[in-house]
Amino acid sequence: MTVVPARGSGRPVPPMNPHIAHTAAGGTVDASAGEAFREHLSAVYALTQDSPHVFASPIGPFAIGGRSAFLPRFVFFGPHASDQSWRLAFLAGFSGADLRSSHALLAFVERLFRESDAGHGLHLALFPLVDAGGVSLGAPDRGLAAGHWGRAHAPELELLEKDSRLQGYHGFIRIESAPAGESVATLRMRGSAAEELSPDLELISTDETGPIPIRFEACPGPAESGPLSVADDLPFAPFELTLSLPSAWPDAIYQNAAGLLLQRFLWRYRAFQAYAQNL
Amino acid sequence: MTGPFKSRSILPGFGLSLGFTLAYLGLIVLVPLSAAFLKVSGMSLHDFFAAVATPRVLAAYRISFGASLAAAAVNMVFGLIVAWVLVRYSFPGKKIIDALVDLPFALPTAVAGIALTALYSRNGWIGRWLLPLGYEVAFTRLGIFVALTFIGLPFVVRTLQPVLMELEPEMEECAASLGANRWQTIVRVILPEIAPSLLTGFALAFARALGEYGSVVFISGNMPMRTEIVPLLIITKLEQFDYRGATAIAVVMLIASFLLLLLINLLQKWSRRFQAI
Repeated sequence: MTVVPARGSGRPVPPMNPHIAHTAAGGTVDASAGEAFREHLSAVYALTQDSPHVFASPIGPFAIGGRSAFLPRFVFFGPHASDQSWRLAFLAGFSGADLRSSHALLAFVERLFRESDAGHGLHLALFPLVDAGGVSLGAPDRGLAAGHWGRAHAPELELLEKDSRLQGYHGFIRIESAPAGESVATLRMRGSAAEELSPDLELISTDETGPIPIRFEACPGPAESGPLSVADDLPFAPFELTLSLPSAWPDAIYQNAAGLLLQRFLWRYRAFQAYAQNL
Repeated sequence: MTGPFKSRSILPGFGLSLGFTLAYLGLIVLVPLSAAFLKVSGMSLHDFFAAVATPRVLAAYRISFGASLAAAAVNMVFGLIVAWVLVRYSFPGKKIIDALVDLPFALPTAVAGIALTALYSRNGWIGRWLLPLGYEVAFTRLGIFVALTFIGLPFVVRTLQPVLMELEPEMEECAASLGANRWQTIVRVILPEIAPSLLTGFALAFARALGEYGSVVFISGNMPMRTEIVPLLIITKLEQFDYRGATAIAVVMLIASFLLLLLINLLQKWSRRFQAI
């Protein structure tokens, strides 16, 4: 694992967003947190009703615990996107106990709705709550983050695996909350791309992360969990980038940092692809 | 019989059976459809058009109606050939082929969707041969068309078969003896006779395709603006608790389907004018 030292400094801490409930990482699903997520999701659903670029398109249904549930998904077709566009999947909420990442991704969907040029020419799929079944049942962490997608028994991972095969994503971006005690954001690169690319140089630059303290890591080699566990069967060799944000950060900073880093990543990624195509 | 007493019909129970018919149709067909209109009546005109005329909804209409029309049209041609072969010729295995026609009727639509997806996906038996030729079927609009063609075939074949059975081969022989060539026999003798039932088969296949959900969701990929059919969009709206939006789209589908079926019925009526017998 390659670790690049952290850069940047903290920013003034704004008051916590009362709309978004805190959940302790690794704990059980708080009913009010689940309710707050559903409210936020409904608000984003309503917001994107008339959007020409962002579309709510949940996949499923799947059965869990005698109930029927859908996996929330938003699809974004940037201006001038086509069938040949680069496709990226954003994943958050691998545990019902980590709904802050889900809120952050929903906030990013809102940002894409407002600033569609940010994803110019890109085809994005955003899954704000992977553990939809767990939240629906109020179940504790089901270990979906570490699940092998090819041998998954969780219906959500089966749906994600099917969708990945179907869409042939070029990359997966995972948002998660770092364990308690972590004070800097981490960008972790996995997959074959990690062997060839330096993540801070190619996919996001330390110059672009602004005041957010960030550490870069690269994990080359085969993956036994997540989307890269089925990478051999996918039409393209994808990369996986994990954005891990400290749990201790207040909600507003957490969301702003996620939005900023994801947007900068998209800019850099688009520029990178344009350069590659030019070559 | 004259006088104050009404004459008794040979077939008794007209009043009772008509009452039952109207009550049954009212309960099963009219009440649910009226409920959709009632739900929509609470929307302002602006809200209604905002719900049914977004780019996403319009794209779904285009895909649903376009693929359904194309599938029904293809079934009209090939269903006629299948029905003709089954009626006119005797050959080994005819009964098996005849039974195969009914398979899309009997098969659960989800099974059909899974089977078609397995066949036409990139690694499928057929898909792997089509891919080098530049044709991708599964998870594209072409896949929707294939699924709708599959489920619509029996409607055309089963509608045409009884009519073709009634059509005596002597008519063709007669036309030939009067100097008509094969093309003239088909166009001027056979087609006018079967046109109304051909249109009925087309209408049934079209209507069936328009409402199809189960098989299409497996093979279409369900991508908004690209491969999303109207029934799926309605389900998506319901999942987002947008009940009014879903109902508004359903009402538009209902009206459009009704108008199309009316048009086809008028065409049937018109085509009957050309029937010889």
